[in-house]
Amino acid sequence: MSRRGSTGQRVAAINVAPWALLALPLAFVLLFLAYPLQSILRESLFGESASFHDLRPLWSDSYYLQRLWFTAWQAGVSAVITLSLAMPCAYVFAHYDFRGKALLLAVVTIPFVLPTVVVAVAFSALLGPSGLANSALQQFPGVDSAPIDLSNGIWLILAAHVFYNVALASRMIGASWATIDPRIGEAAAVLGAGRIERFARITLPQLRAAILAAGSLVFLFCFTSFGVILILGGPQYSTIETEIYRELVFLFRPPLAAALAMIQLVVTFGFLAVYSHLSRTSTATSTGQRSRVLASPRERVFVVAVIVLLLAFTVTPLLALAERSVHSSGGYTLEFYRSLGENTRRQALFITPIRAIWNSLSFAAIATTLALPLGTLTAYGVQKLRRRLGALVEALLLLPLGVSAVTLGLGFIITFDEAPLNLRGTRWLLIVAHTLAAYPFVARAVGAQLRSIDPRLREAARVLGEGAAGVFLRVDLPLIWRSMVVGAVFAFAASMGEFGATLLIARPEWPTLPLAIFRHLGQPGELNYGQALAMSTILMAVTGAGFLIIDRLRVRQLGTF
Amino acid sequence: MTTSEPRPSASEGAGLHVNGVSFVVSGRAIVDNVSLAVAPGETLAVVGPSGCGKTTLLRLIAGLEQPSTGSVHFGGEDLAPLPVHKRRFGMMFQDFALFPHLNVQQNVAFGLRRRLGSSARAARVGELLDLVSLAGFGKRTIEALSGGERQRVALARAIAPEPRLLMLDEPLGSLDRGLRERLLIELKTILGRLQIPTLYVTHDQFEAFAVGTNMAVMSDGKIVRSDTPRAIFERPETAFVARFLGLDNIVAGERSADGMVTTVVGPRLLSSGAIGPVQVLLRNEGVAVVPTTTESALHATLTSRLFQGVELRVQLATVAGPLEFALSAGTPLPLDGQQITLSVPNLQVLSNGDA
Repeated sequence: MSRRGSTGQRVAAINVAPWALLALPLAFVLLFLAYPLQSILRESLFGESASFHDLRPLWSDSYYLQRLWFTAWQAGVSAVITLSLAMPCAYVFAHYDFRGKALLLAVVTIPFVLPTVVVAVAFSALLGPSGLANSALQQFPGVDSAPIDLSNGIWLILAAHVFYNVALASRMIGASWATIDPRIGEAAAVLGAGRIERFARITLPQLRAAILAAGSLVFLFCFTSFGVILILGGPQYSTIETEIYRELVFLFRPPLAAALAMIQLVVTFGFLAVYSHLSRTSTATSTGQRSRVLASPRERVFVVAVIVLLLAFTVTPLLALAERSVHSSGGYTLEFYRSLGENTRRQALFITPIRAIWNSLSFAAIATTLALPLGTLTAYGVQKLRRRLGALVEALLLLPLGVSAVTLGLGFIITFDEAPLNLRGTRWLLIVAHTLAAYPFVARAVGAQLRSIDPRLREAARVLGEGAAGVFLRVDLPLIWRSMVVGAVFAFAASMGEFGATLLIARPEWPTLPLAIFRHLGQPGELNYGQALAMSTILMAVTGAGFLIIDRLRVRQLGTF
Repeated sequence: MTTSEPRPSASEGAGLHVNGVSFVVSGRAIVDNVSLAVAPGETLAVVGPSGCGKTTLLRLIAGLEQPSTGSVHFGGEDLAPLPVHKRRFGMMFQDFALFPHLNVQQNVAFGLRRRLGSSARAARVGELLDLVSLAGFGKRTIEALSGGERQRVALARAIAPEPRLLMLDEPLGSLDRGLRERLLIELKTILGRLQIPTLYVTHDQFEAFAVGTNMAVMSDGKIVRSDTPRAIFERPETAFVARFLGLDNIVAGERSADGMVTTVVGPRLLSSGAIGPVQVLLRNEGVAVVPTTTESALHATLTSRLFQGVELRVQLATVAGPLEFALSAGTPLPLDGQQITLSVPNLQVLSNGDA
């Protein structure tokens, strides 16, 4: 706290102009994000088919106002529940050491990177009419029909949103909590502050930025949540995001969809700005504390209770998903997996689920390959800019995080279906969408690591006779490669799970895994549902495996971004 | 010889009384049966090498840790049932632990909330900032302060609620040398004015000499010596204390039944010590260059000299190993590598002690 040294200064060890580094990412984002967004704005206001008449329902029909209110309401409630659950978890993660802590952290982080489709299916597998909880309760005598009826319910949506975000929020708050110097609390105690007063006057003010940052991020995710609402919500619980999709695909009203997308953009950018500001101010000021081993039995009970609660929220749906995927009405079976490669509908043009898995893997591989250089260049370029300018450019380049998937798909449909860039129906459109969704993860992961490199290391290397390339290879690369792997895993997971944009732009001939799951859910019959569960389980396993890799690398900033 | 054993009326009377306190973590005694007392107006300087348990001792007194055995009393009252925040002690932490989210004024006012109304509080904060020469700094953030300014804020914060006892943990430890010397004088003046019983923990013996009315030397969790700074310097008694105080000229000797101690400087009559092999401290006081023919003097080879302004340090090779003495700057010396003879009038027999 007392000595910050010169680590805050930037030193241009590599004398490449920042704009040269940023040229490629900027061009990519401007062309494939800013340009489509501008098209949406134009379409909503002055599209050829658009007149104010088309937009009239927006203000004349209270339906849209209700949708906006519901969207904000469910996001706000999700954020509050998530935060109140995350606080005790954050405390435990920040203060205690126990066996299996690293594994626990990795496991509870898996939900965050799971595809929305998988999360929806997992909750349906746990709490749905034929879900694990209901069939377990039906074992008891006197319980005939499914006792838990949450189908298409708000509770299912909120539970899924909390499930999604609680680990992320716990990690963000916990990371900040761990950096609070314990002696600061002790100083307050010596000055006469009791336990409650210390929490209110010392801990909370120091955690404020982290709590608000986590809260606004969770709000943002829930505000633009698509797969969860579409699959678990049903028509009466539609949000702006699903409404855009409905207007476009079922009601064929692009101008109205574009206008809704604009409204959503304004809200999300507002929260993104708040988040970005807060996460900058919540950086730790003091040296970290050592976490303690569990001492008293009271602490033991508390920590165990928190862990059980956390696991109940994060792991049970995943277990239910895996269990239901090998369970049919006739008992346990591997039939759903075995049939993934078969043309069960005996149609000539039917795409087998195996094919969809292959599609997803190859799209994700290409998107990750593109995202790695784009993200790394962004991280370097932004770091070399002056502070304010850097923050501005960073915000621009991280826009993809704040633009909802459906909005992105909508923009692509409006923009790239005509010359000069007619990409309609090409795989490139899909790859670009996935790369856009993926590359901010690389940029954030590498950027965080770059900031932590003491610039004097590079200066020392220069003095010792290394050129620019040598400095990068012998100083930077050994220090950032782990964070590049972390970014790549996030990017791969983001591409594997991309649903909203893909749903709008993918051709039926090359569905991705989430799309195939969604379609199977829409089909009647046990086999279709079972196959959806089986594919979701595979998707969960792939993303989970990536996270175990990260855990092996022991990278600290996992889950922050 | 050591004063680890509890004093008779330890738990009575004004001030702080620590009685036989130990703090054991996984079988190791970080603080080992420590007893001490600090009366009003006294400053007890606790010195010892880093890791000797000084900071833990302060934390035990503050109530931040619970002693494994022993008790802490203040003004006759047993503090065991009293949690940290009820003890009304002031503590200045190593590296200060200032609240990063509060400004200077709010930091100083932190402990005053329960005690004073807002206007009285503001007045008291102003008074304290004056006392530590930081008038006008109230609105600054902690980040904007230099190391010395932070030190003063930490002191002001600790003394603001008028604590019954003040504890300072390496208050000057993280500052550079010039600043340390200036602040040391300031600190001593302020402590003298406050008259609060004070515990001052440091690894620097000169700080302890300057600030302490009493001094306790700690080693390995135990207090191995406690007395006034002057008495300890004049009679270190054990080799450990002598070396810790920078008195390194310790040579082997042999004490016979008639009290004659034979060392490298010849036989001397010394009153204390056991019979047999002993360790003898050659003190610097009164050392002078004498003709090489002098009997009962230190015969050595001059290996190097270090001019330090007021004094001249000479390093010698002797049959008892390398020794080093400070002479006054103008002393004429032979060339390096030649013979030199010093008279060493002050000798003390040391015991091995526990340390």
